[in-house]
Amino acid sequence: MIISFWPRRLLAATLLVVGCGVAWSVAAVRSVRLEDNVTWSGVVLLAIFVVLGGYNLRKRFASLPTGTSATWLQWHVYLGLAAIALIHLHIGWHLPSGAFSWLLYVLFWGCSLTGLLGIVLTRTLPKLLTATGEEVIYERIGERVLDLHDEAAGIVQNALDQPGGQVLAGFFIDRLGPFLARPRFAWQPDRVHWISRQCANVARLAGPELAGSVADLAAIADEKLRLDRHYLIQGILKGWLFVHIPLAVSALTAALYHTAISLWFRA
Amino acid sequence: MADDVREIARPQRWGLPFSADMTDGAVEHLLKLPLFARMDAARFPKSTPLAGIVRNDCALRRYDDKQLIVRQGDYGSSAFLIISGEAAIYLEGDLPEKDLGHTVESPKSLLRQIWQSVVPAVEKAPGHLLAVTADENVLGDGTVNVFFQDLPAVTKRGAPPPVMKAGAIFGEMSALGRTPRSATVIAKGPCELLEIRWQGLRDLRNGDAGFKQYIDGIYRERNLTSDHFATTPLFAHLGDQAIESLRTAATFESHGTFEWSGAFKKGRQERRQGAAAAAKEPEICAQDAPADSLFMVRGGFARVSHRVGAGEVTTRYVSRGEVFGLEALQTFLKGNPRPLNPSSLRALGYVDVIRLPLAIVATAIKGETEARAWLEQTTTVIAAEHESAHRQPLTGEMMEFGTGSRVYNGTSIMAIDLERCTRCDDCVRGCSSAHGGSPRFVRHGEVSHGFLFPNACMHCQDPVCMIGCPTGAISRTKDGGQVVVNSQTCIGCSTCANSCPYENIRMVERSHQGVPLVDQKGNAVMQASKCDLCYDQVGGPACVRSCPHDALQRVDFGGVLTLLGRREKDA
Repeated sequence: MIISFWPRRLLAATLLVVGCGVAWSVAAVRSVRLEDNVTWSGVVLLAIFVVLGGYNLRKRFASLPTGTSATWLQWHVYLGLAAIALIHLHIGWHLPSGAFSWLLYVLFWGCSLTGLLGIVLTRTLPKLLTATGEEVIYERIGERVLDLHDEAAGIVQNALDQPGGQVLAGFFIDRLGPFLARPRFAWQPDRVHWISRQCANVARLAGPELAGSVADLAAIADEKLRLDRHYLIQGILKGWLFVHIPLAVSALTAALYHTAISLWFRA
Repeated sequence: MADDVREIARPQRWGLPFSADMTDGAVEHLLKLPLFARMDAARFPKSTPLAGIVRNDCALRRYDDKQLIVRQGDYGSSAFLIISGEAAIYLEGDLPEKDLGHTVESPKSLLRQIWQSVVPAVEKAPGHLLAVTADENVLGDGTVNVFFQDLPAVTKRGAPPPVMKAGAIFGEMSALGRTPRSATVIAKGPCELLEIRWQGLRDLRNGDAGFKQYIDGIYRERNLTSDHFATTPLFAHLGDQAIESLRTAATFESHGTFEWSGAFKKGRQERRQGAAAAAKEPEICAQDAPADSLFMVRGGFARVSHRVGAGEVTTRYVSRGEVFGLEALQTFLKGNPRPLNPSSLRALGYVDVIRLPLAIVATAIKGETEARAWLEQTTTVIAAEHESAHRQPLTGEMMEFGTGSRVYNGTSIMAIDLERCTRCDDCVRGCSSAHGGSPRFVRHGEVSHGFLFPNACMHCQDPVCMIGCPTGAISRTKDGGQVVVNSQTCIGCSTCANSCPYENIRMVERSHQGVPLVDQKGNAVMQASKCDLCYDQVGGPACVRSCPHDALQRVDFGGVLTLLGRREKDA
């Protein structure tokens, strides 16, 4: 079934606002009655934390018919947003007081902010990847770059016996070879100009006989740039989870400890 | 032999016959039947002798009175010869659907799925080679134990059904055209049938010119006489007399090559160049030529294109059940006796069409208000599609890509919206998780308009991968029509992988309980591996369920165009 995203987003956002509104109203009523808001909001928060953490479990058992990952992610995002509101309701709209509470608060915000960053990254970066016009599996980028290096080396080797071949060899050894040696995790918008400038310079010195070879080298360098862009963007898309997940696990663990301690002293 | 591999006999065609009951005596008896006695055994190749085909590709089936033999709508890959007795034919609507007793090929089990997500399933080994008894293997179509004890009471048919007698052959349309069964056949009294799996049918056709002529003849004849006129909206409301006039005037034509995949693979690059591709396809009717016929597509696909400059713009494609020539018919009905074809129609690979003279059709539907309303509505839609292909470059280009790469053939194309896909590979992990740790596709393939079409089986309407399989290991499921490989009967010959025009089948090394299998020469024993659309899983394809961003969808080509439209709308 092909779904349309806007109605779904609208529904989820409405549910979020309504949910937060209900929680705020309950808290307001209970406050007027001088009743405790900490326990129920803590229980709801813990339940939300468990559901949020459950998404990772769902990914590990992907073949189980436990709903689509996209639905889980949607709940993950909106429940995460709800948790931001609820945690402040839980602590009475003040900053935490004790050291452990501060640790839990920082972990929670670290997890939330990296989560929000993740949403932004996963919504924007795929378009940049697609715009490269190249499609490559992340694990194969290194191999592809090495292939380009070998291909360029072959072109230079074939040109050695021609006048201007030494210019090409020098260019390869000093500039192009190191550039093609490995994928680079760097944003390098100026590289496009660097390549065209270098290639124009080499073409002038190598002479018209090697114009075709220089053009081939320029095409290889251009492809390497696209692969670098994939390496960077795909790396970021994979990498942010390495920050988000440890923070989430730490926050969940701290929350469980916090609950256990609260219940212990309450008893 | 090292301990880390297990030696087995290399699987062969006919290593596991279609039926284990085919004794020397039975083969000898069958060869005396008029059908086989007429054949010249000497003309068959040594690798596939006539007796070998009868022994290995045929199975004797006995049915009791009122027992179901084949069921309309099932995907079958075999034909039947009636040896003795009679069988009755029931067309769509003659029998209530609920009484047909639909079987579930492989029951889905949530418990099994939960267990396998924790403990990956042991890879299926070629059972017969590992000394599993043949009885444990389910081969071919098998028989379906459904009886209609009170047939006259359940049938909605007024008149008695047509009956086939000894010597008649049926099921060839499904076996040759890779299409669902067009009728339900029920035994009328005890009868004995010879089931010929399509590999055998193909070899018999190739080996004997007379048999080929006979089979092709009944294939054409039945395509004309079957009841699909009534299922075409234009003719659905016509009376028996009008339908009969259409049948009488209709001619059946085949265009292109049935086994088109080889030529397609060779010229893949060339065909992507739009105009050149269309020019090489067999033309059924030309643009601006006098339109004298309406074409009903019976099988395969045809491209509808329009000349622009020196090239062709594909405005749509037509497949089984669709009609070409409606605009000309509309013009004819409005009083122009000599309309011209507004577009050309060309066979994509191969296409079976029924040609109906325009004048006869016009006479048949002249006073039919429902047919005229449908015609008016459909021609408006076609005009809009035509306009869209010209005015909306993205839709037109995607249509061009779909026809050029023949992606339209797929019923469950894996399409990944690259503007949503984060390249997380959760789809591959999901697939792997659902298939015992071995993913059935690679997230790599052709890209068009920001959509990636990975090398995952598309479960084609016309699955050419099934053409060459010597054992029938690759077949359609009876329930959903998914194309699946039976690892128990796959001999690893690579025919399906080589036939697949889209390179969506991969050959993988076999193992049994983690131990690689090799033959006596030490060579790895292979088997075909492909997406099975998780047909035995609760919840549907794991790849779709695993995508966190709704980037991956399994759709037909119309769905791809919808996805493209949605992206433009959401942007």
